[in-house]
Amino acid sequence: MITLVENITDVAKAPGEIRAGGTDLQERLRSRISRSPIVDISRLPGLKSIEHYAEGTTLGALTKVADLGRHPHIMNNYPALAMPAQLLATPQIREMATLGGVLCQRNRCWYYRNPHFSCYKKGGDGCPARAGNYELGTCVDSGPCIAPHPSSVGLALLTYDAELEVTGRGRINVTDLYGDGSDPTHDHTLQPGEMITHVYLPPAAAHERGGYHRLMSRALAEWPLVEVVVRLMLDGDTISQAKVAINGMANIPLRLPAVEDNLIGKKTTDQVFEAAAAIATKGIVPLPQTAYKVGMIRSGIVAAMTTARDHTPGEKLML
Amino acid sequence: MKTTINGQEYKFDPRADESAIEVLRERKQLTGTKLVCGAGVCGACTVLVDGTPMTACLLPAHALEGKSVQTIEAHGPDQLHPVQKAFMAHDALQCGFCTPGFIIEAIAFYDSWRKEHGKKEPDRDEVALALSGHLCRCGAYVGIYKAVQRAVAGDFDEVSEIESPRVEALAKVTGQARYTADVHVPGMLTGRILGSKHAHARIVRIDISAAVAMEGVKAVVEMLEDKYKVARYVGQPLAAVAAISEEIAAEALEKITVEYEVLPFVDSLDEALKPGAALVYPESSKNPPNASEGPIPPGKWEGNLRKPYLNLMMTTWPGKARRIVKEAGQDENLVLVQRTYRTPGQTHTSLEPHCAVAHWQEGSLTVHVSTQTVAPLARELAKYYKLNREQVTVLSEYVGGAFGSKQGFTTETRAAVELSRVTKAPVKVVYDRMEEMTIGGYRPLTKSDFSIVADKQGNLKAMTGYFYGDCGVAVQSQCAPWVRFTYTGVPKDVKDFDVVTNAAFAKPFRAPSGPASFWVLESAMDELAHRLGKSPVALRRHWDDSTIRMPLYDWIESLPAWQKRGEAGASAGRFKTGIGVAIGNWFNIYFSQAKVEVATTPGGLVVRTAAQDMGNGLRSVVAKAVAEEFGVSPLTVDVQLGNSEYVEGPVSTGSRGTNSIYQPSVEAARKVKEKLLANAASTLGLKDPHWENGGIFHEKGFLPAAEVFRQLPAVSVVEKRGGNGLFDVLGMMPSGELGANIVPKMTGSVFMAQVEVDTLLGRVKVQKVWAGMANGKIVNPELAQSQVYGAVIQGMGYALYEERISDPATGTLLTVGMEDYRIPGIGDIPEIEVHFHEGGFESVKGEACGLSELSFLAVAPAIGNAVFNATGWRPTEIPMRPHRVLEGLSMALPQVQEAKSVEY
Repeated sequence: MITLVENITDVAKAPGEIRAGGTDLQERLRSRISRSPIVDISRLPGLKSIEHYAEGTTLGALTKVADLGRHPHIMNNYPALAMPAQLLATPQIREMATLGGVLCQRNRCWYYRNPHFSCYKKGGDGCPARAGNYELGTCVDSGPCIAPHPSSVGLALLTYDAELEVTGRGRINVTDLYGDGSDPTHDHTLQPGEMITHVYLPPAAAHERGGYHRLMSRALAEWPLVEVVVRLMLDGDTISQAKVAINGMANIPLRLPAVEDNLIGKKTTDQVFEAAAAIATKGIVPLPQTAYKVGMIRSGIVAAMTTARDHTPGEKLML
Repeated sequence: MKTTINGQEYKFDPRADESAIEVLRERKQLTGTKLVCGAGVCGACTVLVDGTPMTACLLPAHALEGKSVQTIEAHGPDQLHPVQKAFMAHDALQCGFCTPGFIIEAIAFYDSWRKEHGKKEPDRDEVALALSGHLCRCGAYVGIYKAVQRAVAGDFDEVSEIESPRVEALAKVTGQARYTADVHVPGMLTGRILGSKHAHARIVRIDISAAVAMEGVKAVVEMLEDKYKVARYVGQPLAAVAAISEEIAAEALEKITVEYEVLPFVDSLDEALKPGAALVYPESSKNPPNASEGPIPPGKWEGNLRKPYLNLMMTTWPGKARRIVKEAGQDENLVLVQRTYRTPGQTHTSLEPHCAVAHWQEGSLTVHVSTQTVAPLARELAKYYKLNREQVTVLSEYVGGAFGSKQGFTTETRAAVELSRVTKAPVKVVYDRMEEMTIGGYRPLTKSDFSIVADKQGNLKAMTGYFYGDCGVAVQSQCAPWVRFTYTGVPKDVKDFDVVTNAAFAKPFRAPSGPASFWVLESAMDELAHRLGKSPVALRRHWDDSTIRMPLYDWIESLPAWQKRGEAGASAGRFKTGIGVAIGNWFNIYFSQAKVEVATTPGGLVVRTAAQDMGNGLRSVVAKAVAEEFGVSPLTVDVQLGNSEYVEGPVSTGSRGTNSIYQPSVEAARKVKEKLLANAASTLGLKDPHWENGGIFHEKGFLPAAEVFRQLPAVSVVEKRGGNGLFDVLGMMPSGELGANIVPKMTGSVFMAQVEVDTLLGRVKVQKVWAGMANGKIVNPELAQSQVYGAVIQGMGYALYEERISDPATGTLLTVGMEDYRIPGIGDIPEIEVHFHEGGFESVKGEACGLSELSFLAVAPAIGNAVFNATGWRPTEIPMRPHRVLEGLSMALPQVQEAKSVEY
């Protein structure tokens, strides 16, 4: 069953899973992981937009990821958002996937995606990965589900303290979209019938440098083991403000405030980056199969910070 | 709903969950767009939607409303885009299954790049980024880079005539090549297979009544082939359904109830060998599938372990070998390297899945099937179904990759034939990606305990090697022979053991068991050279008993990159570079009974043989052989393959294609030419006719080939390859259905790799590979080079990324998609330099030997040895994924070790 929604107020009335670009849902329909009725919102008017005002920038939820990655306003003012938008998934997916869709996508756990297994996210009452192979899972035990959150864009929005307009709920902080990781049944906190319509970014920061790194085994087009977004606001070569967020460590995208605080007032040297990155893993207790990520987390943070320092703004980022 | 497809308006009413790929392939029969991963990973289904490349598998059909879609069919033979011409000219394709997707993307890139940068040639990184959403399993990336770069730079803007080294390139770049997956027969039903949910279970009862009762379901058949009615791995076919649509067939599978009596299982080699482990074959009569291409020799079972008696042939002074290894520790003049090595299960991952369309009619059986063995499959089907050989036709015009996995009578074919036999309708069975990855085949996992001893002067003294192969429920991992036949003349105790587990059966994969064998041997050899402080090339030269590699050692030593290599672990800083070398040694097989028919028709030359081209270039080898005899372009020779009605050609396994078919093609062409000349004299009355420059010269002038074929009566010659004269006595070794003759002289390779290891992130980047090959005459240099590129890239996948992983709790495969099973992408491709040292096989008919398998063997160990040279850490287990590299480095590098000792 499918409902082709023409009016935003109809979303709440239609039963089923929301489909925008379809890049996640179509695969789950094919594998029969999802058998939900479809609420297709791709025809909703007015949600494909990038608008800037004095108080910030508003992004429509149906904006394509590729457009975020190549829009001059985003590239110049929100580099830490543009970078993941240029490198996540594949070029074709980025042309299909929408901003709202990538924020609400389901995770990539190979148990969740395999129709042979039941799990919390499929109405079951356990996590087969815990008893099985979770070498691609979270580094720390942050909740019943140990699959990392897949949204690179969500990670970037975290570093901008972005807000989301959600139907029926109003404005919420992006952190509220992901909750605390204690509910294993969902990958986000939206209730049935709720959908993101807009994303609000604060005004562009002065002297911002963006950094991004995806740790993968291959060069391109792979889901990362660890993924880091960094924003450094610089006063010459001194860091006046820093925002650091990481995926792959926990089951939700994480901000790392202790790392951020450690950077403030310091120079952008390798030593400063390494010392700050070490704080990220201080005292953490890794899961046995993903203990290898402890070093990667630090390495990924250093790599993203190095990019923030060395990358020429406006140029295409290579990993 | 209205959309525009290739300029034409199309109205349709999509299903709720329908994707654009179904609209194109099923509703519109536009089969140039391929369905491969179904998950947006591989890009084979890429089409332009309002000019933007998108993956049709994930694009909702509803999203096509009001859009304009362009598929590869918009660029037919008369409207070739410069990108298509470039793909043809630079041989940027092999099997061709990924090609339409790559071309669509490259056309979009061409347009956008031109708009921004004009004809400036894009660098490799730009091309890689643009094409990163595409995967090619044959490894045609080197040609793809070049084709895209040169097309964008304008090389093909004005070109009208394109000569491709691959004669079927035009059909492949235009999406016209029809693969089995594309076959559509009117009235065709869809077949789907139900697999076991459990890794080990007795099948008590299968209730099909609810499925049979469904409207649209035409037949349900049982598929379990086990005399004890036991399923021994997850996904083992239990039943198959034929229905009028894919959706109904899928629903019907869910309505079949299976009553299982669940039995204990073992999911890994280590578990299977533990005392008290559950037995895969608890019954007294065991009948495991064969994962090799040879016969199963007798063997002895001990639990899940099987010891083949063939091992006795592999040893030379085994007691002495064991004694030397045992005492080496006490002898200060001896150096011992003793390690345990592991290699992963490598899934073939052909982009065209296993598929078949069978039609059982009164008195005949026609089967379209994606296969490497057209002729033997027809025989096998006739035997199995008790038909005359003449009643069975096997068709396989284009094969979208196989690599060893598509031999003989396979499960999808059995399902299609069984269902057609019941329904009398044509039935199509195509594995979905999950089935392809689970039961489509893989290279066995291995664990090897290997010891090698030399004296301090560098003289090889002894080897012992115990190779445990995990082929799932199958047997016949055979690493020992390669160790036995390389560096010979010293005491060796090398033995293969099969360890059965409750996993789907392994299959032969390009150089079966070879890559694991050389990973062990050449890693150990390199370590020994290091301990002895000797040049690993000089030491190999000293040990090597074959002259075939000597010129290749010279070549390696002449390379500046080799001469400049540093000491192991001497590279400083985060990024460490290193150089590694390894060799390969491989059988030289041909099929003495291979036949080919060369005929003339008024329209030109036709060549027929019941062989197949899986992208390895057999069609082009035959075309070139015949064309050169006549002095005409290979493109004018109509080579017809993939039909069991033709005279029997070689199977595409064991690197025997060129070796078996090249020489008879040349000889048949010569005989046809002689007949034509005789006819020219007798029927046309031409005086002194002789063939030269593409036609007949005679006393009064010149008759071009096209005229010769038009004017003279049609002639036909069938030629058989036959044996090698003197070598027949020594080398003939009949080997069952697949027919193989072995030349006693082995072919050889020496490879060198340069890597950069990111010691912070644990990533190994292969920067360059030098591939030295000695396999006799190179018949078709461009295609031979493409084959080697492909082997290097698949070998790199084996060394760095690819690994089958199963759930230990249930035995279910987890790497069932192309997202989690990682094959190399375009951004990973190193520069590859291929060096053929020709000659050395003058006694072999045609003087050409196989190269597909030989070129795979040394890749992984050359990379591993380069990683050692870069970091001082010796990898023993592949793939070298980041977590293994970081773990390995933490033991080798003190500073990383310090960093790793965190507070937990």
